[in-house]
Amino acid sequence: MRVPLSWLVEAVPALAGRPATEVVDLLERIGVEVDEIVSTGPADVAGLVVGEVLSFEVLEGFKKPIRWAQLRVSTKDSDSDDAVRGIVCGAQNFAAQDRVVVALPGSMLPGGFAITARKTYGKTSDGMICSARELGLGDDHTGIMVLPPETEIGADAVELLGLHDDVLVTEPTPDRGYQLSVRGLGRELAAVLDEDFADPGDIELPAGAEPAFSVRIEDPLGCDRFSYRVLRGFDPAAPSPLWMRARLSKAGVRPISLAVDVTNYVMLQTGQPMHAYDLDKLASPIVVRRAAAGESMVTLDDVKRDFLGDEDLLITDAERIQGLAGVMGGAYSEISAATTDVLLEAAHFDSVTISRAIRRHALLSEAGRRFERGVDPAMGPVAIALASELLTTYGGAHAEGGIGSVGSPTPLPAVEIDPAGVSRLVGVDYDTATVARRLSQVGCAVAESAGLLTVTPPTWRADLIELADLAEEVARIDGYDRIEPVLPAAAGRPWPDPPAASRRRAVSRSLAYGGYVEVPSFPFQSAEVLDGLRVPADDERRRLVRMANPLSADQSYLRSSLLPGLLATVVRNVGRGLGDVSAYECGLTFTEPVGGRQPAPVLPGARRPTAQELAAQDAALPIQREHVAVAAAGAVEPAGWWGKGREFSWTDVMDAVRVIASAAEVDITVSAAEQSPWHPGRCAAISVDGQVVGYAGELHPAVCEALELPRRTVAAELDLTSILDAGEPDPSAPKVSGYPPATRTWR
Amino acid sequence: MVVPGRTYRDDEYDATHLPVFAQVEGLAVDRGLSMAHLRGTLDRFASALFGSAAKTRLRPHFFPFTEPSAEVDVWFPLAKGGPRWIEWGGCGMVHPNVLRAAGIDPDEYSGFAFGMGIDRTIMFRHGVEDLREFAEGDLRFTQHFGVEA
Repeated sequence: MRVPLSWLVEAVPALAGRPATEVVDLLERIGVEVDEIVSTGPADVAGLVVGEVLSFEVLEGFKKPIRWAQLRVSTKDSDSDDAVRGIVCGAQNFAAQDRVVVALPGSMLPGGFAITARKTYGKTSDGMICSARELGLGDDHTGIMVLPPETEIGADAVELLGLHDDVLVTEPTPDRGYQLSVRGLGRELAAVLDEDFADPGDIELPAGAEPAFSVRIEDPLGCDRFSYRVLRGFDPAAPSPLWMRARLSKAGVRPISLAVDVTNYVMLQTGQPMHAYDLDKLASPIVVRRAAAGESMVTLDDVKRDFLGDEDLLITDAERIQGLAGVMGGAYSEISAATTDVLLEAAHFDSVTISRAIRRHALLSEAGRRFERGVDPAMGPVAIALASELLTTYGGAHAEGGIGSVGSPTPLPAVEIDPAGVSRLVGVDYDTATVARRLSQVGCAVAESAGLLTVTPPTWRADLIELADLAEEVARIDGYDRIEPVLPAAAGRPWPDPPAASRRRAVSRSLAYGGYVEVPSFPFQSAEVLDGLRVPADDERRRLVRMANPLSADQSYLRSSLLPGLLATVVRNVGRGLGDVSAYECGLTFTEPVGGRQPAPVLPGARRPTAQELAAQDAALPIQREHVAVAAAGAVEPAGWWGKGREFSWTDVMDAVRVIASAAEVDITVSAAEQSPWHPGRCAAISVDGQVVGYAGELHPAVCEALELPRRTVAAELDLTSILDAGEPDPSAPKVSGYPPATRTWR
Repeated sequence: MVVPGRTYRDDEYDATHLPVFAQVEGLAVDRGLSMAHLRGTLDRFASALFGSAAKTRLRPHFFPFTEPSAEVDVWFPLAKGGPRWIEWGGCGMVHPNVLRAAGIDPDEYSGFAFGMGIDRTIMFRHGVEDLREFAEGDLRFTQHFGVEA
């Protein structure tokens, strides 16, 4: 959320005069990340004054009408030349006596735009009359900005419009929807400073009169409260007040029209998303319900949306669908330039329902962003009252009937805690009064009785369920920096490595000492690479595990062998000019079991799963085996004055296999074999206890060509899981003979 | 317990993000463990990796499996461009629901947990400018780090 510091100061007066960086520190202390501070200061905007148009003449003979206006920019020294300026202006929307913003020569407009006197259209223009866009107050560039008639001539327009400000771009965590509002941020800034908070949501609601419209909730799970009100006699041409346009612009919301601006403004202030309907286009009653299969509508952004039956939550009336609840309204009942009667909506929707709708329709609105994280269900009537007040004041509307509010959100249960439990979990010695104070500051109602605290969470904090949740609030507001580090005494002894783990590490280390470099690659591969490796169709390496959401379409399977990744690394190194490469990788390979797999059942939570439930989880996994693979190409001994040097050959890779076997403490037997991707005459099968655990040798020339490997690249791949499973080493000492060996038979 | 391992994330593959990376995670469960113990452990870990002048700072954050939760920054005195706070990882007190799901009574036991990216840690500890170096397997990059003793 983009929040102007000046707006926060209104909610927390104690922030006045503090530099933005200090406020950022305070926000980060309470867990709100600030991505950026956008500051507008005297170097960006300066020297703007309020001027009165005294008169103007239209300059003839140009392609478009141009006005030569005389403006009074000072009430002092009214006779001096400086008090009245002649300015050339292309806009047509002002009249004599209008008050406007004048940028005099020497002034600065946002974007580093320095103003000078210049000759144009045959006159010397002594400055410039500004549009809203030129002042950084929205996109309106259809004409210059006309100020209210009571604005004082010669006043500092920078101050008047609040153009100097710091905008904090905040990123709340996904669990804290309430922080997407001035109200939510202000409350916690005040709390961390132990200062007063002026809650914009703390207002007296008008006495309950009957609402002038009828609303029904058919899906109380999706919508547990719907607040609304009818306003009539609204002037659709009434402009939004300058201060509101300035605040919205700084908050990154484009000012559009008074009705839309007010709903956005109240949302930023209170966190309650709102919607304004053209009352003439609503047919009583409004009904909130789930979509039926096949329903669709055109949303405000002029896109046709097809709804998913029983899932999407809709706002409908007697005749049609009016909106996708909490995400976007419909185009049909959108406020137009002729709308005089409106119905305001401020509802509370289920966060999961809205979150799914946002993803289903790829439609993330400011309203959706808030509903998804959670909105205060108590804010509906308050937001309606605040918006009614603004539309009455600035748009001449009058309320018809009272604020309607149907539905009844479930109240949040109170939590009883021992304040000492907070201290124990956080490791700071809080007294009961501190625990109670900090919890009250975040909005909880706290009652003490017999040393225990009964804590009722505020309506916007459905996440406060048990002691740990409340402990976080106390620690957060009181400051994580108060937690002093204590090194715990570990109750356990250091556990020895399981033998398989130390043997596994020995394998890796021995290869590294043997001159092979470890190159862990991403465990993804294509199906086509197996063709390049000449892997037969019925080979188990073809039983690939497909990923649901691959990073790229050409790597859409989990690897069934380490060789594709390892050989690609060899190619990459050779491509970078390394002629002599020897590398290895240890890692998991994945294949589908022959009988297929069942999806993992969802675990119950809240208790330890049974052995059966855990077995069902394991059964959902593919076959995962740890492999070790080595590959080498180029010279094992470089050529030089000492001799010709020597290329890697299949005997070197057999050496690597022996290094692996020795480190893993197993005995291997080697026999000639035929196996892809190796050369049929130069391939050995490696066995442990009579079981083949892998192959080594020189790669088939066709494989080298297909994969663009150097000729005679050598490689080995062994199933490390099988090797490490093949028996723990025998710990009993050997019996050695003290006698010299008899190598000859004496007779 | 401390567990290093491979982790996956739906991130674009670029100079500062890897979709496949290594993470080291720590977990302690006992009677009477608190965030003070978590900080003590993190400080010790930080000074072992970054020198005795290293220290940690906790900032409130959200993780579904810890409560209270925090992000941990490390003060790295030898950082390129001068000493500064560096975002290091996430941590917190094990969420009571996680303890329950493991069959441990959260009223009797508490625990803390933390996790850091190994690649990311090496990145700022050794001034690696591009995380992709860890995935590409260029022998010149890897050989620089030698073999563990």
